[in-house]
Amino acid sequence: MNQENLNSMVISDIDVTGFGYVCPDPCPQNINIPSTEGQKSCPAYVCSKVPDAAGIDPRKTRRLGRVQKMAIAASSEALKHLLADCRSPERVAISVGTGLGATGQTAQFLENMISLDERQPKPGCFTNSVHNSIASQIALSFGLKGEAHTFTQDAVSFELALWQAGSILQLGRADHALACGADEISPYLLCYGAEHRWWRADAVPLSPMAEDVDKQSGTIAGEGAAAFLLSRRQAVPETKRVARIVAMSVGPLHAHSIKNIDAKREAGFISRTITQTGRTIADIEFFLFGANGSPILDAAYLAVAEELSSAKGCDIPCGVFKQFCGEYCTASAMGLAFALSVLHKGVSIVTGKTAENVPSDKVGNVLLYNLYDAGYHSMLLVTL
Amino acid sequence: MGIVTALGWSLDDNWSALQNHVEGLGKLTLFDSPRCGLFPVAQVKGGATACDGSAARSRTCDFALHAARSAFQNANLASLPKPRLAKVGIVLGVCTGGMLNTEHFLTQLLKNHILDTSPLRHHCCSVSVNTVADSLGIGGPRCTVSSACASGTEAIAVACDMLATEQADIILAGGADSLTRLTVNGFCSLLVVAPDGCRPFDANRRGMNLGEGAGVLVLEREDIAISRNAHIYAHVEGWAGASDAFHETSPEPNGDGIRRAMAQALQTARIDPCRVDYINAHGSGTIDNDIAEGRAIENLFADKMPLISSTKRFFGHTLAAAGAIEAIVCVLAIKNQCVPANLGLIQVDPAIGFSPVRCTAPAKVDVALSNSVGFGGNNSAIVLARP
Repeated sequence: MNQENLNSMVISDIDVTGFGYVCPDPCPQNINIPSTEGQKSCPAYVCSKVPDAAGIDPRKTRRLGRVQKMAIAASSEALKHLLADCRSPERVAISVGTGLGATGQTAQFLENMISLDERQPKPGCFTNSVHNSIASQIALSFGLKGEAHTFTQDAVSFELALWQAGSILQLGRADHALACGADEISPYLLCYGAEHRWWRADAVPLSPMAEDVDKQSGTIAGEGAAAFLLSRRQAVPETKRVARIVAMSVGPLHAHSIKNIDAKREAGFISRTITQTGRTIADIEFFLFGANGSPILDAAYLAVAEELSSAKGCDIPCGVFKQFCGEYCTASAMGLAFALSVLHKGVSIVTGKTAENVPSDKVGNVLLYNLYDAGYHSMLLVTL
Repeated sequence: MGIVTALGWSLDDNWSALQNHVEGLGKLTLFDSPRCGLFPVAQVKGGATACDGSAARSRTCDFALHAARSAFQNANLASLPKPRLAKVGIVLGVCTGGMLNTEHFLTQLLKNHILDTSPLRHHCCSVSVNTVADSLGIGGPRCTVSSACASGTEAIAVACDMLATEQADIILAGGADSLTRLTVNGFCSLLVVAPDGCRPFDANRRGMNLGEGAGVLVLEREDIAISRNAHIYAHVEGWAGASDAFHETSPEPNGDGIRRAMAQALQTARIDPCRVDYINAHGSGTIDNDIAEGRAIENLFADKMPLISSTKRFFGHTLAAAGAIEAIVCVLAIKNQCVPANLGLIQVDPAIGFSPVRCTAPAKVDVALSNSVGFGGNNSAIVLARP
């Protein structure tokens, strides 16, 4: 492995045989946040009504938190073809990434506990407060009995879950592995972010990598869930494949701060990973970036895009997706869902500054690239 | 290996307590709570941060840092050159993380109307992994696993997968968690806490008792270990997980998920069940868990029952740290050829088809198996063997 990619985690050549996602409402709304200075609010992309999961009795999920409901609904879509004829549920694994877990149920438990001086703790909120309640509720809802993992590693929680799901298949421990990324909004997270000036003040949809990037004042928090059924090639006919993850690489950034990022080096990270798949930057038909409207982060993405364009010899076709879901720890899962949607429905479903460079017809491969303030980067190359 | 529990801050302290039947359970003094004095907990004595909102690190992070540093020294990793440290990763199981600090933040807000978000910087479970990695200067993969009480065992399994797929050369794997009001009250609300101390597999058991601490093991590919003349304590021969898909909290009554996890771990290890010398059971002491695990063990091992004990009364149930601490117990059992007692046992539950070890005693231990069972039917098992 190349020295620059030394500490990246890599998987390659995994088939996706189903996917689903639950996206928040298209327009951000103002959420009240804790404050000692009277009523304060903060805009956020919120999924105001989580859709019921197909085939699941809503009474069974009514006591769950929103993050579990979103994950179950997304998983239901991803699993629909498998569940129609699943003879070996013990050969179906689950791997969930969640940055903050069940914040809603945790907050409910703590608020009740503190307000009532620990007199009447709520058992239901407690059992739903654990991070792995998302994975176990998916297992319970769909009767899946394989191994189940839950990863919570900042912004790369989903990438780790995806890596583990791919590894389980590669090591032969399951025939299918459901990889899911899910997070929910919490007023306390909004409050923490507001104190650190992460969020913009106005509740208008994000326009990441827009022309007026210097004038933007921050990003908007979001939430959502996306799930992907990965399958061993021997376990499903090729006609069932909806996409292939050609390569994924995730690792720490060389710089401790996005401000100090070396765009040339980042472009090198991307092109080396592409090269390892036998392709070049020129072969990539569409780039999807995790830009979120934050001026510093957007500027870093623009610099990397410029380097990639320079390497290709012309502007790269690219788009963004966080105008649909806002920023949250496992938004890269939503990015992957949009990347797969681009493969199936064409590039017009995503918009961005460079939309005019986008070919109007369908594309055969998409590269999803994410940069994180917390000091990580990841890239996923997907094809039909 | 490195460890911190209610029994002490070193491997020697802990092994000595296991040999002498010193239980870690005692009075909860870490924070004020109406629960204090109603049941014992295994609280770590001295040395770590309490729950002050201004603390530089969370208590969980203190435990993780201590155990990781001890393991780092024990494995002589400090002498590795920087390029090789770039291929050293870390995988920890963490559940409560900085919850004590979050409780402090919320209490200040709800009770005193003071909004100070600074304690929330400790909230995320991943803070411990990042702090340890930064502190030790290791540059490989960072990963936090949060699968309730199975987290520690799963962290070891995930680390093994990372080694098997060559994502890293060496990985610090384990788990860490501190006591919190959330878990103390949460388990009380489920009516599963034993007022007189847990008695795993006993006919009159009344539940579990919480503990806190951390355990970290240095895992590496054998060729790497040999090339740097590392002392090899044990081999991780196999690991596996399985879901019950049965209930949010109750295990599947026949222990099918636990049995499948054990069977698959042994299959991965290519070890016949009859070769297992010792099982460190999850054995939380709750009525449902012990029955389910007992049936799982009975169904898998039948008439070739190995020595079995639960060490929960020594350490308390340390949640995400439990699997890692119990894996260390298995390694020490292999190293010292000695099996720890199932402390607290008076009369074996007749519904359980084996008799746990009553006294810590010398025994042949070439192969040991450690079970972990988490909320939501998250079962995992690892198989360790003498090198």
